[in-house]
Amino acid sequence: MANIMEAHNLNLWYGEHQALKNINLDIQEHKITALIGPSGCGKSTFMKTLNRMNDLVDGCRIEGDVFLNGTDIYKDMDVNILRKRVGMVFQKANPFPMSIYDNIAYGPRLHGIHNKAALDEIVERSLKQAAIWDETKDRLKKNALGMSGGQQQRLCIARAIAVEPEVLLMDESTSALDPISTGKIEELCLELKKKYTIVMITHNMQQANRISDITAFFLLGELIEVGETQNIFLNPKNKKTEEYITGRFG
Amino acid sequence: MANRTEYDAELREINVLIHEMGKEVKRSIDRIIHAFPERDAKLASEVMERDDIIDKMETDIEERCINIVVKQAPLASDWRKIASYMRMIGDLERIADNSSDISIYIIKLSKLPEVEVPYEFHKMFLTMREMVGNTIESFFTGNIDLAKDVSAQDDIVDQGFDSVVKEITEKIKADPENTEQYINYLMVAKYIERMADHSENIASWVSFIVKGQLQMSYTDRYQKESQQFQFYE
Repeated sequence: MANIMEAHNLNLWYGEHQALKNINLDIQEHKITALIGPSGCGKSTFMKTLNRMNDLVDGCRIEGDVFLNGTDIYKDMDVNILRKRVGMVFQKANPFPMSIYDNIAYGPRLHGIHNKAALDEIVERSLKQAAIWDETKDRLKKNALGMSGGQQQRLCIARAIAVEPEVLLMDESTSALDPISTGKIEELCLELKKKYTIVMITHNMQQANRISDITAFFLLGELIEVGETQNIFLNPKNKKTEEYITGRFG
Repeated sequence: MANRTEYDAELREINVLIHEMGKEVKRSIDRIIHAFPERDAKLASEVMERDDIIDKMETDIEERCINIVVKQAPLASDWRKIASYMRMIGDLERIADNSSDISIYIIKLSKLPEVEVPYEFHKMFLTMREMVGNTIESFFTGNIDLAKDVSAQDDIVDQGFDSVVKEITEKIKADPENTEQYINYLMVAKYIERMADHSENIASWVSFIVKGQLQMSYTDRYQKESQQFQFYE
């Protein structure tokens, strides 16, 4: 399986504090990669390096390389292009205070699509791919803030895939949802990976075990272990990984 | 690590209960080893009566394992332990059942005229007993070298079984009037062979707990047993 993204010797500092230490991690195409680890271990920081969200953080300094399909995203890629190709869904659903339709059409419009028929097609396709079309098709002009939490999160996924990214980053995207909404999003991820590549952060070990193909364990800014999810959760090689996933991490 | 103290205590309790179950299974093996040469129906009956105790132990451990799966969602080495425990107690229970099965034949034989017993039984019984002892010991201590020996010991029991089959076949030809006794002895030999197989299963689960890899796939085992079967065709 080809690598769609690669991090080579990645180091990151917030001021004096080194948050990532020499990370080398490949993201395989059409796979779900789960990043796990205790709070403050560097997994969110690493995820943000994949679409340069850390550029906005004062005092942030990065060394090393991150490649997207062979192109160095820090040296040879426009950040707007990068964020179109590497979309992100956050922990808390954050729909814009506008209609469902406009939420989805926002990204495509930014990228120059203004034709009504083309936008209609994108909105319908995105909502269908995010498994929320049936619930929204009769209320597209309604304000997105009136939707339930689970619906809002799926809307945000629909919004992220409306610009047809290659990679979708999901930072604890189900942690605030009930089990039914979580189940729908997990099902959705399994469907979406046929077309996209997904990198997800989760504190839910069962979720990582259920839906990811690859799991990477971070601790204190280091990548401790990475491997096929089944192996990581059945027979981790590193004692620290074992302690973390069995809940014995002190 | 201070986390998950209750969980760890539950796992330790299950471990102790399996050890207790193993000791009870060994006692039933010791009883049939004593009852067999004497055709001691009383001791054989005791083995059958005590089988219920082992069945209850299995049910109790199984319930605890299921509860831990539901409550604690075990992963990694914890999951390997629980998954293996649930398989191991099944094998231990089957060994105890086989002890009861042998007891039935000892009681039958006690009511029939005595015939000469193939000498290989002695070696089969002792090797099988040692296998069960080694697997229980390796489970409790995590010493997988003991579990490794079990596979070689199983070959000794299999060879003993082949030898008994040949000897009994000859005896039936030479002494057809006592065919019933010989068939009963043949059944005993088959049950000893099965007990050794269950013991080998337990050894492979101990290895899985410690190393995280299954020693022999079911396909391999099926092929091995098929080859044995072809030998007798």
